[in-house]
Amino acid sequence: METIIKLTDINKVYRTEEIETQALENVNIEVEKGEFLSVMGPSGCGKSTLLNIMGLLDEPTSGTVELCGTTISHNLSDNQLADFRNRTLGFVFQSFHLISSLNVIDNVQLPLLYRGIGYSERIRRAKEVIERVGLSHRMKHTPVQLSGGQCQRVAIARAIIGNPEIILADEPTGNLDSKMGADILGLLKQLNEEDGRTIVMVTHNEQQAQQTKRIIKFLDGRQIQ
Amino acid sequence: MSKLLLYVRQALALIREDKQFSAIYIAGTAVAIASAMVVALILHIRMGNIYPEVNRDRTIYVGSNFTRSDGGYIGYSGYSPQAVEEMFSKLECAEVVSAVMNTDYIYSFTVCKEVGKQEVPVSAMFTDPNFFRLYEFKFVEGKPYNEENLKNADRCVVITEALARKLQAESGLVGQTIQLNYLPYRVVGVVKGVSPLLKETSADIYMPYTVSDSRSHWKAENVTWAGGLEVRVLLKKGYTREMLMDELEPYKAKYLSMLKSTTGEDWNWYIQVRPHWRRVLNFFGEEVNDASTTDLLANLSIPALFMLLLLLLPAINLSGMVSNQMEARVAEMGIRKAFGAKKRVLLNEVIQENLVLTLCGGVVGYLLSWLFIAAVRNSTLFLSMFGREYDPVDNVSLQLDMFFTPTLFLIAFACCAVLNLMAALIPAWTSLKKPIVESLNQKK
Repeated sequence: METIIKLTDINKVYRTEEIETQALENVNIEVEKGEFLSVMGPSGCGKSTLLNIMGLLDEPTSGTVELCGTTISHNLSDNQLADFRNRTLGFVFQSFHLISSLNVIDNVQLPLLYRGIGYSERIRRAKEVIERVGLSHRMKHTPVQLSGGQCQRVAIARAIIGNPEIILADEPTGNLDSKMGADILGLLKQLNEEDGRTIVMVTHNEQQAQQTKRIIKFLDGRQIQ
Repeated sequence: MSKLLLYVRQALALIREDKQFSAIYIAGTAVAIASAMVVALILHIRMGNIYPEVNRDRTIYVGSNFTRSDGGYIGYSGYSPQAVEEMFSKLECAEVVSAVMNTDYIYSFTVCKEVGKQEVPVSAMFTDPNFFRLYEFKFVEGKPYNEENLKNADRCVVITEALARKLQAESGLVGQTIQLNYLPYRVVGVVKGVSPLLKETSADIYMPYTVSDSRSHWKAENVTWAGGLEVRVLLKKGYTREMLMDELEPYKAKYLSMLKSTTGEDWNWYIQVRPHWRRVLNFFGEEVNDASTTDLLANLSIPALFMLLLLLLPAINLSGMVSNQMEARVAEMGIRKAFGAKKRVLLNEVIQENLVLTLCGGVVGYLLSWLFIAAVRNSTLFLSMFGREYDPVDNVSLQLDMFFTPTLFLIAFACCAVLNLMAALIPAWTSLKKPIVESLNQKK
């Protein structure tokens, strides 16, 4: 199998004038292409930090990150990192992170806008993925007019519209009730099984984690399982 | 284009989302731009190409200044008809030369169609026929008086449409006689009226300067070339004020030696060759014969600085508001960056969104400036800014072509852009420098 994510000796230290916090300590993880991986652990154990480093939203203090065969070094400019995120990664956040002033279709087309794709193509593809997450009837609604589950579906549509190899989901069901949570997990499983997308999901929910292909557990910044 | 539409849509959504912010932003922008536009409008009316002074950029006003070599001063500030003929009629660089009796003085008359009918107070200008060539008057009826009329001091006049209406003869007045200070004058032409804000051309009645009651107004008796006529030269395209000065230089020595032989004293003579702008813009005192191009820039820098100050003060306030709004949108910036937006693109987005708000404010401000000028147009203070203190027959001080010009639109747009950049760029840039994770975790 092809390794799509490779983290080697990752350390992340947060420093303030008074205190130094080791968020991640010597983390080594490899994720195969097409895998659905759960990352579990108590609050503050470094799960989200790990996901942020995988998603190039944050930099490790030391160690190397390799995504899709590309080593992400300090030499990459902000613009190169932005391009890489745009083409390779899709994010689903616990609090959805939709833009409240944009409607569903405009929120979903965002990654394509920054890829420079033309308006009609953006709209066509946005409609396609919105239909796939079952929200065709809500395209012109703004996030405040949607339920939590619907918002997360919009977030998933936005994550997949650019056809990224990797989807990083940070507690995607954390703000949802159990039924909606199950729906969203079902959707992510579908994306993994039918489209072969690699998914890394941070979760507190043992039951949901059990439905993924592999689980890794963290405690105090270290991988324990 | 579609991106721009998206930004516009988002800007409109933001306006709806935060109505208080938008209202204050638009109002603040409007007041700032209105203030700057009032300055620009006044400058434009004084300096721009406006009917009938559509060639202001090529029009030169030639005056004259004699001083005795001991520092004493003689009051002749113009030329006699003889000097106009000798010095100016064969100029290589001139397209048209016109002689006009000093316009600093307002010549007031009363006019009526027939003795016993309603009398109308009017202001008059004494000109030669070339006046109507140098300035592009629109004749609604008839034509200007001619050289013969000037030579013979014929009592003939060109009047404005407004005066014709006042005399209850909107058309068909050409060829008829009107009473001017109870003397009969023949109407030879009717022109579209000139705003009284245009000091060099506005009057209710125009007539040959030879008709003037007092010849001393235009001709000095003791010095043959001196008089009360101001010479106005329309330069040919491509010719400069300096070329005109060079052409006039040979007459200086000739006239000075004539003056010495007449008076027995030594004199200095300055031929004042001033472009139109120098007549209306002079912040740094006046050298007798100074009107260089760098001087124009220096003079323009004063109103420009004033306009910048008018824009800067509200921009600082707006910048604080935009900064607060940007703080509230830090998470949004984080989301956009997470999905591949580059800083430059986001900066453009913020600027364009703010530009929509600023343009809304700009349109309101543009209208406000117009309303302001409409409200004060007849006040003594406002008219005095243009050197006018008389009441015209009909109020034509606000004419559409004074306001709807590409230059003013460009100034208004530039004001919007400058204000926008000052208000939005710094807070946006500060917000965009934050790391993505920090932005995403920012509480709204």
